[in-house]
Amino acid sequence: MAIARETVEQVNSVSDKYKYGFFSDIESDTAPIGLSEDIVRFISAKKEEPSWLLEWRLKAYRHWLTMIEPEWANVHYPKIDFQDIYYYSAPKQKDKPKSLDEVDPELLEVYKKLGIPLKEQEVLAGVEGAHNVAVDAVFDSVSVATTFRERLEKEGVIFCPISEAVRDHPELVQKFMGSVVPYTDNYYAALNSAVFTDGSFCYIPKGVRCPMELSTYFRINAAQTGQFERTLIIAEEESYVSYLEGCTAPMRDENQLHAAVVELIIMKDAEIKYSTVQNWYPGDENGVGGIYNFVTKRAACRGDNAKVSWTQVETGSAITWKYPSCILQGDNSVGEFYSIAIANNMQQADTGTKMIHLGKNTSSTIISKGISAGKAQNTYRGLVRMGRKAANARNHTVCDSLLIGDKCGAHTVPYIENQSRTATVEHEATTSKVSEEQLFYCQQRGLSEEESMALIVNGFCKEVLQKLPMEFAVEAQKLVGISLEGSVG
Amino acid sequence: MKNLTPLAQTYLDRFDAARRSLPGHASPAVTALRESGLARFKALDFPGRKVEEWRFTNLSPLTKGIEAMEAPATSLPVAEFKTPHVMTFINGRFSHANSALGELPKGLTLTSFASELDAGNSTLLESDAEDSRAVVALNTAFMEDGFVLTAAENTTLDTSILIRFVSLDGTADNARHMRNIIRLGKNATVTLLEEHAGADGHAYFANPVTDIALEEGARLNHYKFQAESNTAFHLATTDCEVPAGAHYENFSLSTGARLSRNEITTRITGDKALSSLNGAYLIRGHQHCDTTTITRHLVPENESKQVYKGILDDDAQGVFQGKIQIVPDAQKVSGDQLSRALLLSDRASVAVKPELEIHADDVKCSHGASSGELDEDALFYLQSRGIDGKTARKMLIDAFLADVLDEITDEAVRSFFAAITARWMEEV
Amino acid sequence: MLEIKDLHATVGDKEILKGINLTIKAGEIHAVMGPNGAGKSTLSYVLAGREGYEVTSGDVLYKGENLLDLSPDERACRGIFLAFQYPVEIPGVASATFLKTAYNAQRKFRGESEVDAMEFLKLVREKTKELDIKDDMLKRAVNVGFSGGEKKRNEVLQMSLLEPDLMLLDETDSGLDIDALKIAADGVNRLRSPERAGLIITHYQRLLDYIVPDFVHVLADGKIVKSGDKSLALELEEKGYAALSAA
Repeated sequence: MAIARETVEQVNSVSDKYKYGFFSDIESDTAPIGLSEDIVRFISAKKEEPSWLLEWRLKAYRHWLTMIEPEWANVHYPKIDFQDIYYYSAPKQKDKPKSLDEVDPELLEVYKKLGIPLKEQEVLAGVEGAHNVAVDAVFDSVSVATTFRERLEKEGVIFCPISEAVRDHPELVQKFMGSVVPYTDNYYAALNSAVFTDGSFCYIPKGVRCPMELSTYFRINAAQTGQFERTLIIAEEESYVSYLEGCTAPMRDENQLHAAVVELIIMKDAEIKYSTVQNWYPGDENGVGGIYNFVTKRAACRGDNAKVSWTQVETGSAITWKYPSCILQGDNSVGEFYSIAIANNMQQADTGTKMIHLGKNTSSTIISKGISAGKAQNTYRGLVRMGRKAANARNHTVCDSLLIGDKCGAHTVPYIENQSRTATVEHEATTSKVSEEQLFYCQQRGLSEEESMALIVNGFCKEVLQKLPMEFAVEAQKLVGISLEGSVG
Repeated sequence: MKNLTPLAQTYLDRFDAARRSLPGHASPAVTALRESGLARFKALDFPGRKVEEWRFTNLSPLTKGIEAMEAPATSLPVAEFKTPHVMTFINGRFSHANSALGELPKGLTLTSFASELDAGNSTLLESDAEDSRAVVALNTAFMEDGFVLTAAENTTLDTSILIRFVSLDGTADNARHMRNIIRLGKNATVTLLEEHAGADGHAYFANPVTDIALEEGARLNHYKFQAESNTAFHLATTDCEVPAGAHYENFSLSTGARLSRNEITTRITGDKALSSLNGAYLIRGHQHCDTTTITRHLVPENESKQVYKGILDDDAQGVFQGKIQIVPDAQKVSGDQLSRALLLSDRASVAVKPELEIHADDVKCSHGASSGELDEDALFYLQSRGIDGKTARKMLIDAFLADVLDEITDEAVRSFFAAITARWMEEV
Repeated sequence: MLEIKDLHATVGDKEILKGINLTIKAGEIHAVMGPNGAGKSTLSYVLAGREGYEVTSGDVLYKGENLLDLSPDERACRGIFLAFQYPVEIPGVASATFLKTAYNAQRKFRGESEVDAMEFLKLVREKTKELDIKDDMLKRAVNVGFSGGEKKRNEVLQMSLLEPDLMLLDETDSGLDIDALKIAADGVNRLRSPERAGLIITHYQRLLDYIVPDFVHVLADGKIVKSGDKSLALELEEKGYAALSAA
């Protein structure tokens, strides 16, 4: 009950409906609106990129022009005008800051408002080690600050904005970028490949256990701006890293597009744990505004005994369309997907995972908790495929949906394809509601209706919340409560 | 406009000549119905794999045109299932000589659909005009015969009716577009077994469409044994409306056909209604068997249940797609579904898509799906007690099938199906 | 009856048994005790012939015959019975069917005629009564929905019925309360005879109060590190395994 109590306190402590709904008045350096080959060239030139990368971007752009927007997901929205979006917006700075002291104070103010995850104050005060999270912050399209870099460098860990990686480690970027999610993969991945502006790059050398959690905070600030970040993480043999990703955006009454690509590469005996708390602005109660979150995330377990674990808490965005996937190539490799997706008011979430078993003795676990409230629609969509050579592969999937109120919808669309006799696939799904007895029982013990709801819902999500690193778990529990505000009564 | 598949084009070319000899050709209403079916089919064509509902079943072996096979015509096999009421269709047409309808209770009628069409009785097919399924539209254009079963209020049939659809030969353009109609009045109770059979080596396309409407409190036990020729195609579509207090029980046992699909849609439109869809498929060689169910809960307080099991050997492919849909305000509904597949060979495969679409909060829904081989621990346990490997495997397979066969209420049908599955297993 | 010579066995890539030597003569009951992970269960699985438990070297002779060449069912028919530590649940297979199939398979192996359902039921009833097992258990699927104690009693029931020559009991006492333990031990003791032998694998001394062994062996890290009579078990109970490995 300690956790639950904490949750309730945290819910109480947050009075705003959407805490992150401020926007910062920072002068930004912006490309002309719309998308063309010239814009792609402009972005590449701004970032002083090598020619191979420009060529790759242009190929992606040309391929994107031939593609059509996917319509199979259970989400509905007016057609996006891709010419009405700014593809590049960078906070204006005279020179690159050498340390955080030189960063625009207004920007630091933004970090302060971001709250819990960014402990920049401590870093500035020299409280090194007090908080073992290295942070890369991506503000609109550009990475503005990466902390703890020196300490990481000592271990041989590279953690920097991807634009810097292109400059400093081109051989790594060229070798791995697009190797898990090729630019031909899907509509939004192609778009991202053409116009991505920044993101995080992370390389863990052989045998290194990354000494701290790595974290990236993404924020969309400027109006009418799309955010297209690209994250690339490579875990060499026998290495380990835990990576956290957080997202926020200000309240605006227009829809903004976020189309990111995340690629993870895991070699023999290595492990990546990737956690996301996604809290983009979801739009208001009437469905005005909010982020369209169309994200491609995929991990390739290339070596034997490789392991990847995706944990996600999806509470924000007007529309979420994402399927963090695992390609289990190496024998004995392991893929995990733990997800909480909360959709309230007019939100629409279509999320799930793909587990592609190719190697022998590969195993995967999927635990998905979908919560629908208000008039929201929440869909779990997943694929488990056992290839012919996936001898003794195992999958276990549990998909639970919770409905709050009678105007929302919960949908489960699993695809299971088994071509391996010795593989075992098990899928279970249930749907339930928060019962009046449960609410009454909690209320009778002194909790308000909303507190009771937060408590029960957190209980429903417990298996997944437990998978999150400590710092995130607390924030996630709080978000669960906030996201459901107004869903009872 | 894109090109139609070769088989679809053949149907369009053949229509004008065919409709002059099809049943009901003298009736303008029937002709209009056929024409509307053809127009819809022309617009739709046979579904390709890009159509979501058909992503796991590739119809191209059918749609590129069935190859004629050299196989001698056979004679009608004796019915294994014994009942005093037997209606037989041979090569798509009612055979009076081979039927023995026996004495049916008062209020129950069993006639041939062709005779209804010839009588200009097109009112049976009112709902057809808007159907957007290609195989149904094709059936509407070319429907030939089938059975029409009606039962008046409170009519009860104590035994069961056997309907046999037997193909005795198989030439290239052989298609059987059967249209069956079942109407049960209030509190009527009927048990019906359909048998679809053809000797191996005969190639043909069976396209039965069955339209069922139950009235309040009616109960239909609807069983089907699909044992088509191993070179035949069988695409069956069944729709059933289940109103208040009614109970629709369906069990399909499939062992035949090169490619088969059994698609069942139930619309539950009343409280205390129950839709119980179950089945087993046992396939080997290069057989492909698709089971697709759509269960729609349209009002509060009713129930649906499904259990499907498959056993696949050699290169067989199994498909199960099951959707449970609960519309807004259909509260206090329970929907359960289970599908399991057992792979006996390294080359067999299965694709499963159990789907829940839920728009009401006070409901209980679940689905479970599993596939894999026999449980090694259980095998070892049995062997450690002295049971040889082969017997142990057989025991486990029997047990795997036993729970689904238990879903069959009618004892005679249950033991008939058990005998068939046992025979199939002998050849594993 | 059973002769184990320098037995090495692996599970996966890991060597679990590292040279076991043990001889059990007819009429004897041997107990093998040892800490968790010593290889006790592996020994029982190797003797019963479970797949995945690979013998890398050494011999096992059973009644003078090479046991390791035989499949699990062939071993069972020759009189080896393993009471599982975790009896397996088999949904859909009724206990009665299971028992009868096993019983007749073994009779058939010995060249005896199979018994019919009536005769068999009578036989089972006698045993269930002795073991205080409710008849309705026979109708339920094998071990499905059984409590831990029920599962163990079911193992003993099967053993009483199949009357093996060599009884292997793998942690049969775990999950049993004292009354159930006595009943189970009685079942085993009833089977004790000059023609039969037994190997009891256990973590605790408790079961040996009821099934008194002739010899006690301590298994640690894949080897038998000490052998003695019943008093060894008591000594272990008192001092623990740690004291022994330190010595």
